[in-house]
Amino acid sequence: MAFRFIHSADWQIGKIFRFTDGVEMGGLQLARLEAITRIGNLANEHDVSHVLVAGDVYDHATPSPRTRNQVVERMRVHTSVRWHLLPGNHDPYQPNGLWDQLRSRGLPDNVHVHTEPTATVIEQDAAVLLPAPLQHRRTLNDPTAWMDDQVTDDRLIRIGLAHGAVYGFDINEEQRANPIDPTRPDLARLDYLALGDWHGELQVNERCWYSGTPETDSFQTRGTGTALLVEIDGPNALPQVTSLSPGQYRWESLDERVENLEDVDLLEHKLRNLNGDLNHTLVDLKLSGALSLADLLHFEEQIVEGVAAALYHLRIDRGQLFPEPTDDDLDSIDPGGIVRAAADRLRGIVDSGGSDAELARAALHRLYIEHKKLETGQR
Amino acid sequence: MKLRKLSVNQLKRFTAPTQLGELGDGLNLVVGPNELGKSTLLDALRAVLFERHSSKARPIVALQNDRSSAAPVVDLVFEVNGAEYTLTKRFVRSPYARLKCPDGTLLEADAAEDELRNLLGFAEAGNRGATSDTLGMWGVLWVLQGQSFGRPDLPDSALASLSAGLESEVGAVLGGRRGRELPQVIEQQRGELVTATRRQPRGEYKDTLDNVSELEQRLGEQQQQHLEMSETLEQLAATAVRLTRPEDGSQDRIDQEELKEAQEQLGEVMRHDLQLEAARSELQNRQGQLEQAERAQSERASRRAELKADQEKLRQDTERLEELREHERESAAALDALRQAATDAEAAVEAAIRSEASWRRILDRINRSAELNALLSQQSAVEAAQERLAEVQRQAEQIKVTDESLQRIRQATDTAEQANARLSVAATRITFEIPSDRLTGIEADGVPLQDPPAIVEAVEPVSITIPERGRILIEPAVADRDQLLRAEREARAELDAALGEVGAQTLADAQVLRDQRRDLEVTADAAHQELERLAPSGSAAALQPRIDELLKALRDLPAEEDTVQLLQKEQAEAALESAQSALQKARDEERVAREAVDERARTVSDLMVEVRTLQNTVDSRTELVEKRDEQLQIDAEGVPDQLLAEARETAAQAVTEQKQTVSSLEAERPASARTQLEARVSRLQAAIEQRERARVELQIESVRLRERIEAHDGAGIEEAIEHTQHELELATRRREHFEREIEILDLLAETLRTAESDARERYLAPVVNRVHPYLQMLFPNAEIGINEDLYITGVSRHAGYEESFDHLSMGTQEQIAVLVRLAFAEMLIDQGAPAAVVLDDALVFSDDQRMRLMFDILAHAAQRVQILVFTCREQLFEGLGAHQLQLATADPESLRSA
Repeated sequence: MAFRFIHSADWQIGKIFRFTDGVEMGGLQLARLEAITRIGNLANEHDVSHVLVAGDVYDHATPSPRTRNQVVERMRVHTSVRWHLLPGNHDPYQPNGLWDQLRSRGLPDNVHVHTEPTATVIEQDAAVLLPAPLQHRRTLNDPTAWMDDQVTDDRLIRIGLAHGAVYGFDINEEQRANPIDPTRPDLARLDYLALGDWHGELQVNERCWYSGTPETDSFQTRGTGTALLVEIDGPNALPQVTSLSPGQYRWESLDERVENLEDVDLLEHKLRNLNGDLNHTLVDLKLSGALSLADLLHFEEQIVEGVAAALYHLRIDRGQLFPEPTDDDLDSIDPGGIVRAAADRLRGIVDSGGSDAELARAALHRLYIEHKKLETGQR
Repeated sequence: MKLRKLSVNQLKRFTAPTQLGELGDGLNLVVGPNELGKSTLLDALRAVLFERHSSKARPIVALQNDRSSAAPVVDLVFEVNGAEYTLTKRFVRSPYARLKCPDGTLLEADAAEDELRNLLGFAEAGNRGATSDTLGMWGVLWVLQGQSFGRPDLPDSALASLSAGLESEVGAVLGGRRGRELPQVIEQQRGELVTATRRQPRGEYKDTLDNVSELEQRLGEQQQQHLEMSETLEQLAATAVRLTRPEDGSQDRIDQEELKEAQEQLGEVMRHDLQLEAARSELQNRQGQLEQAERAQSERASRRAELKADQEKLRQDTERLEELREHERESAAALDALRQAATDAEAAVEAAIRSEASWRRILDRINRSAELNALLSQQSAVEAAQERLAEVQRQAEQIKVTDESLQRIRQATDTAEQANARLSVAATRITFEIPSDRLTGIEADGVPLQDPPAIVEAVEPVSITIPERGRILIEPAVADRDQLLRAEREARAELDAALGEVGAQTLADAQVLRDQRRDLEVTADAAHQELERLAPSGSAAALQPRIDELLKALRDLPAEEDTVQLLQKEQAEAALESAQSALQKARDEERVAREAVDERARTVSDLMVEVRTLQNTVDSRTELVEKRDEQLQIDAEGVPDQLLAEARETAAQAVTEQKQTVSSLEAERPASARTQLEARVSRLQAAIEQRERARVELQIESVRLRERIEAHDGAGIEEAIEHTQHELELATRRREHFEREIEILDLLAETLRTAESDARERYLAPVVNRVHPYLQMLFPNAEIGINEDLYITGVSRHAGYEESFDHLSMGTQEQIAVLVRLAFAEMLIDQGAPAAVVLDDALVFSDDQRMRLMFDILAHAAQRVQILVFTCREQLFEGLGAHQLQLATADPESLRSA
């Protein structure tokens, strides 16, 4: 009979999202917790008894007690599922550390923590698990190497569980930490090597996969979070891997250039028509170009104050977006008055391109805005 | 504009046509006393130019003459740009307006009014007449009486006129409302972040700064806590590693084996050591036995020697005892002889004492008898002296005359004699010059007359009896006879009394008696002194106790030596001295005898002690010698000397044998040093114990560290750190935002300020530049402050410090106000607008110096501006050099009233 399990990793419960404020972060943190429940539900849905979590269950080696227990409580309620947890680089095994504390406080029967590199039969007459827990944030040795010499019953499916970076995967090989040989399934006769660390779903080879994080947590990782449903018919059989999507939030990165009113309008349209639920979409908008002060005002109204409200979070990097005061901008300021004189003066500083230019640009922009507010009676 | 000629009729006080002219181009002066109508002329000028002819406004109606109520008519000739206009208006009744233009056109009514407004640039007056608003610049340039000292308050119309010549409109230059509001908005926004004065953070910015520093501190603490936690975990891991060895027990096993081996070796060594020790002990034992045998042998020999010596000593002592006893007997005999001698000496002394005492008593009796006799004779002398004294005192007491009574007698005598003398003087002297032989028988008051010349001094009637012849009664006429007689009688009575008191007949008697008494008193004193000498206590009885005492002593003395009584005192004294010296001698001899007895007694006593001691010694020694001798004989019988010698030999042999045994055991001793083995055993035991102790300590440490980790665990420190870092990042971002905001607002505010300052400077330049030369004439180096409303704010006279206009003196305010008006006028003229300045009763607050400067300024301005000055101070304004205008009769035709 085929052995089925869900491969997940990198829950990183308790993760802090630096760019958000408290309210938004609360939502994102809650989503990560809810991902556990979703995975439990998926397990039930797909009649799966085991969930293998390939490291980084927690974001910290010393999470707060509430964070620590929230994870356990989420798993506890799924009594039909046996959860296999592995210490990763974020939550490495330390004697008397997090994992020992969890154990000493009593884990539910359906939660198993694999802190020793010891082969464990997880399903009688079906599968044996070879976990490679990390003892440190960074190890230079392949934590899966021991599996090569580990002899198990030939009749059992051998499943490796590890957390790290496969060779040739990291750009910087020299700095590579927790290195994992992608040929480990062959070397250690593994039927499947469940990996964690890379937050996007990735097939390394036919027996080696990264499941990705179940709830996306960065703009660099496209799409919603994933988990893998793995089915292996028996020892030496190739695994059948199906991608699942337990994630809620979509993280989008946009790199746009805006030069005029039309560009701003186009951008607005693009944002409003992003895939999925805008309420669960985070956008990292990187802008470049130059806008007249009038267009910039339009940008502020349409994008910063308008579309942003539709999204869960809109992060705007306007480092390369420059307010470019035009003659029209200046002409719209009362001619002959001191406001205009001040604007001309600031524009002179901007045009001179000196060290004060950038500040003068901002001041001019501000002057323009305040002037417009007075003009339209907003003040 | 130039005014040329003004004519009026039926206007206030001017009821007849009157004209003022011709006005010159520059300075024109209208001078005259009060009530001349200067102000009325100015009213006329304002009315004709700026009021509607049809106006029924109060100021227009007020132009009428109060009595006639005729229609006021004003006619004005003026030039604009060199062309002459003639303007005539009649007010109130049948009003009209006519403007004759340079081209000959005659405009009437509203056409004339319109053309006039167009020409001069003012607004149509309302129903209330012309106001400063309708007058525009004209209201500013034409200063009515009492207004010249105030700064020009420009209405919008005036401001507009002036601004027309400035580069832009006022509102545009300063940015209008937004130009004013925007800097305020920026300042307000900045004020929400930093304080206005000290630029200290406030509000949200300050909160953010506080928040950042609080978060930084919290983060530091958390990181420290984290570090401690990591260290604790590391310590725990290290402790676990250290525990593996003690808990493993392999080293313990090795050490245990080594310990066992060492202990076995040590046991062997110890056993051998015990044997050796036993052998040595046996050797020591045998050596002791040998010594004992030797000692027994030598002891017997020494006992024999000692016995012999004791016997010799006993013999010597016995001899010596005999000698001592002989000596003792001799000494006792000598002592007895000495004691007899001493007893004799004592008897001699006693005899000598008795003799001496006898002589002493004799001498005593002699002395006492002598003293008794002396006392008895003294007692007799005292008694005699006492009797004498008593006799003399008795005699003295019988004489009653004392010094006091004598004095009284003397005084009484004197008084009597004086009374007699007075009586004698007063008396009638009856002198009988009768031969004595014939006097016989003749008596005066029965007293026969004495020898002639017989004189009778009569005071009282005297009866002179002449025998045979009869009696002659003479009654003297003495004036105070009775008084004199009474005095004489009283004096006599006193004298008699005094004499009678002392028993004397006369004063001389009394004196004799007194002298006798004195002699007796001297005698008594001498007797008294004698008595004092004999008996100091004053009586013979005082001597009696001593006398009695002596009598008793004499009676008590032994009376056996009657013969001795015959001896003289000197003899007795010599005998006593002889007896005393005999006594002394006897005593010396006795003492010598006693000492000899004592010395000999001591010798005898010493000898007796010595004899007894020696006797004891001899006795005890005899006993000892006997006993020893007896014991020695018994011992020798028990253990013969031969046996002792054999025992000694045997013991010596045993010692030699045991020494060999010891030597061989020492040679057989095992190689391992016992101390080394002991050290090894103790080292290994210590190592095992140490390891156990370390194990326990490490276990305790391990528990301690675990507890600490448990305690830290609650903090969830890494997560907490990241939370804090997140908060810090947000706060830092906020801070940076605020800092950026402040930078922007600072730059903006600064730029706006600069722009405003520049704009104001540029805008006001035409005014300031025109005022400047005049101001320099008045106040060198002064600058005027004018705001965008052309409102004088102040004057800077000293190093840029601006004094508020309101704080300047009235004179200075007026002068500056006039200067500014001149500048305005010039500016208007430069713009091609008509302008003329009218000053009514101006410069009233100026001092002479300033007045002269103002005249210069007015004269200078008048080169371009026509100035009309009204004043009542003719003399003061002479210096102005103005064209002085006169009032003259005007042509009635053109000024016809209604």
